[in-house]
Amino acid sequence: MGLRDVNPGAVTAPAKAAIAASGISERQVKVAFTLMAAVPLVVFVLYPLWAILHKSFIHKDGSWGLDNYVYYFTEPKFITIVTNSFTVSIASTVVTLILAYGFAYALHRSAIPYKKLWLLIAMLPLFAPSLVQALGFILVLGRNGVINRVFGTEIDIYGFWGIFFSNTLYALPHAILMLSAALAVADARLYESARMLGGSSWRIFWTVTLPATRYGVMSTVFVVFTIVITDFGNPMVIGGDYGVLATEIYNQVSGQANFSLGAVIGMLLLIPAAIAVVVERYVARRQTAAITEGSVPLTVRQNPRFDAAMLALVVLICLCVLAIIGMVVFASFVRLWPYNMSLTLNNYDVDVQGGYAPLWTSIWMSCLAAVIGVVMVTVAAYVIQKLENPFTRFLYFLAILPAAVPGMVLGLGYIFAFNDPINPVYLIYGTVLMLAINTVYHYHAQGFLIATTSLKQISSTFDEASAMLGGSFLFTMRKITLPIIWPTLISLGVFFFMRAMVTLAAVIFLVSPGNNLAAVSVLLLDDAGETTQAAAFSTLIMAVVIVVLLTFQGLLRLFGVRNVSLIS
Amino acid sequence: MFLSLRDVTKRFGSLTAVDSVNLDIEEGELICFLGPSGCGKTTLLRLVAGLERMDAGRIEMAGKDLSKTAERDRNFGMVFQSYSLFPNMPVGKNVAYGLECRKWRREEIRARVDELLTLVHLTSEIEKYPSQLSGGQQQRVALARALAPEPYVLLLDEPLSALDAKVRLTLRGEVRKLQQDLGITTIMVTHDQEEALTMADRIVVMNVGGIEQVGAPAEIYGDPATSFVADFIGTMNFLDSRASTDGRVRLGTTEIDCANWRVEPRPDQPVRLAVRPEDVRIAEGSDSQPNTVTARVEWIEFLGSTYRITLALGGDENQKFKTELSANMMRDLNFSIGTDLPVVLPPERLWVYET
Repeated sequence: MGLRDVNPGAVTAPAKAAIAASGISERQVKVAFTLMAAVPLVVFVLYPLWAILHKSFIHKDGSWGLDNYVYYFTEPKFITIVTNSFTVSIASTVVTLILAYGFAYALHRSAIPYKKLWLLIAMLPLFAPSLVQALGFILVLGRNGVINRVFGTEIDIYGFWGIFFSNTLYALPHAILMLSAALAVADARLYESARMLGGSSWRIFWTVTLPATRYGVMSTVFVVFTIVITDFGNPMVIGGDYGVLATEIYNQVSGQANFSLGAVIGMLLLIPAAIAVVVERYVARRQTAAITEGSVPLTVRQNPRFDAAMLALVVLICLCVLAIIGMVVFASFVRLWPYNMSLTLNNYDVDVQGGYAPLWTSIWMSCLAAVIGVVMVTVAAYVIQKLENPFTRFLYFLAILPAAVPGMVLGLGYIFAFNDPINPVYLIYGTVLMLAINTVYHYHAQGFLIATTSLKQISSTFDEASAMLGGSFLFTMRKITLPIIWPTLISLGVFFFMRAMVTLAAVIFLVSPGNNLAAVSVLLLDDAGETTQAAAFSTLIMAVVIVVLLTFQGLLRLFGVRNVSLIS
Repeated sequence: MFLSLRDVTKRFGSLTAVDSVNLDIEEGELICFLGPSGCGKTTLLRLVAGLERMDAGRIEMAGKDLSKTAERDRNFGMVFQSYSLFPNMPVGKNVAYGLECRKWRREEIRARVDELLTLVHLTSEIEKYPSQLSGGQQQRVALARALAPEPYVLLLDEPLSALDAKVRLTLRGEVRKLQQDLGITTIMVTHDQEEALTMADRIVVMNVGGIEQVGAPAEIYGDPATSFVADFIGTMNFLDSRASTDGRVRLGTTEIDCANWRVEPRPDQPVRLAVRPEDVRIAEGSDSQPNTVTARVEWIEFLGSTYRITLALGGDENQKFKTELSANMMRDLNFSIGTDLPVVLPPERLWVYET
């Protein structure tokens, strides 16, 4: 039997050569996917932003104009609040940057021991809602804090210093991660030539290291600034009379039901955050590869005196983190802070503010957010990466727009947009699903960028090879793309779960007594003076996050995946 | 005609990558698109594949217009330069992929995969993942995968260029044999002229988006239609000269006969005279032959079994050309740098192109 008989490779090929036709055309599938990416972005990002902008121009009597802005700008209190916001945010940003640079430098450019342990400790604030840092500082330095009690001092932490310290602690892990990325890679040849030319270590740092990381530093500055100026939990707990924009929105809306003024302040908070994000994206794009093919990776040399100094810095920072977070955990076991310091488990028997219900709601909501988040950002990234479409540029803009939108603003936007029986979304308004969706779109930009990076790493020739073999869009996605990027999907799910467990600012306006969330519960317990129960609740949130993180990291290890980090 | 391309044009912004190409491809032949990088050969292949959209023109298969047919519906097999094996599937699954797209029955798929892996001698590797295979094995799997769904046409995009030299030589023969055994119409893109000359039934030489010449390998080498082809394929000497009368060209002060005119002969017009090194002969003895010119030895390179001699026509530094001599002939002729030699340029081995 000749090969020709077995294998007729020509026009006379059998009917089997025909591609199996499916019910829907390729074009319809692509249109459906584009809509699946576009519609939710328009509904859940663009529309709420439009709603809050619109609302800020609506007067009490229903007419519209600039009155709300004029009213607010002529109010002396406003000037104070804006000044406060900027003062404390800039101070926090500068100190965070210096500490984080030192920390990241020690991790990547010195020979200190136990690097992984230090990094893990420094990441702890990431696993707690943004009010736990403030809670910790109150327990240590507050009126009834350990220091004042033990030493009889009268340190007053409430106000500027409280916000400054707790936000610095809150932003530190983010800054360390970003600067680590910048410091992790270096070309040893540059350092060798610098040393050959007789440069001192100090001079080499200023002329080689710092310039090489300048984009990383600039990005970090803007990201940290956005985090601290939009943060709500910490100033709420520890701000005292020191009003900032984020707490002012809450007071106007929740305290005085003055929605239009809330919208105005929201717009004002949006401006610095948006500018910071735009500049950050611009800077990130200018970053060129520091490492080229010929690069030699830098290996760290031992230097006892320098290493000792670096270790001291790292240990000091870790001790601060442990002291604050640890104090919260400790307080959760204390009978009656600060009067009866004996240990008990009673605080875990939460009996006010809905007891444990908010924790279960949070976990359920976080699972929903993880699933919805993975699906939505993957679809958005897929459509923008793989489909040539006139809308993709606009879709990309919508996908990363949430990075510029403070949580308070998005939450308030959701009230204006969806708390209206005419709107179809009203059907899920006030449900856990609404909270999950809100969380997903609040963190959409970060998730989207993770998914995009992962998709970009898959060579486009896989798509072409599949298409040439007769694979449809869906078949290719199911058989090739998804099986290749599944570890990233897991890490995306964990990312959304973590964020949903600790998010506060975006959901504060959307929770209702029936479906309260854990982070909100901590705020309410603290507000009600139940400090130890608030601490117990915070500890549980951190425990859930850490357990989920470790479980999935373990699972990924088990499947042999080593290049995907769950902390991002 | 099996595949025919009519005025096929593709632009990328202001760049015209493929400029109204016309080409007919016969059933069962292996045709090679050959040219320097950026000549549009890969783009032309991708247009045939359907991976790029044409800006103008038509591509027909057996009389049927393909321009509205998506790549996945054309039933063309393609092998990519970078193999592009799916990393998440073992070899067997890779080969079965196109069959699963066509919803073949399970047992048919198994039989077909076995058949194809036998053809490329990889039956024992069926369970391995692409990353566990050598480059040559990966490319053979890619070939099997492309052939499995019984494609009408096989498209090979620089299939061997990522392999090391030795594997490349083996696979060259294997691919050609497989193609001939299956009788499958095949288009191969390459920038390697040796690959094209040894494998192809016909070669399409391309330059800046257009076709320079189409022909069998011997034709392309032995009778280049343009000075680009003459220069690109093999080695060619070019000498500045002027057209004379009666099919003659003037080289310096001498006039010589020339058989192959690729330009309209107009007296006194500047032309390029082309001759391959192996066709340049050093005249022996003193008997004067027609078409003899005088050239000075400029440089002698030792290449092992042969010598390469650089000559300057009439001692003119701007009119250099090369020839190769065996070691025996070198001994017999016994010359050194600076010697003036009588050189015969056989009329039937001379080509005249425009400048």
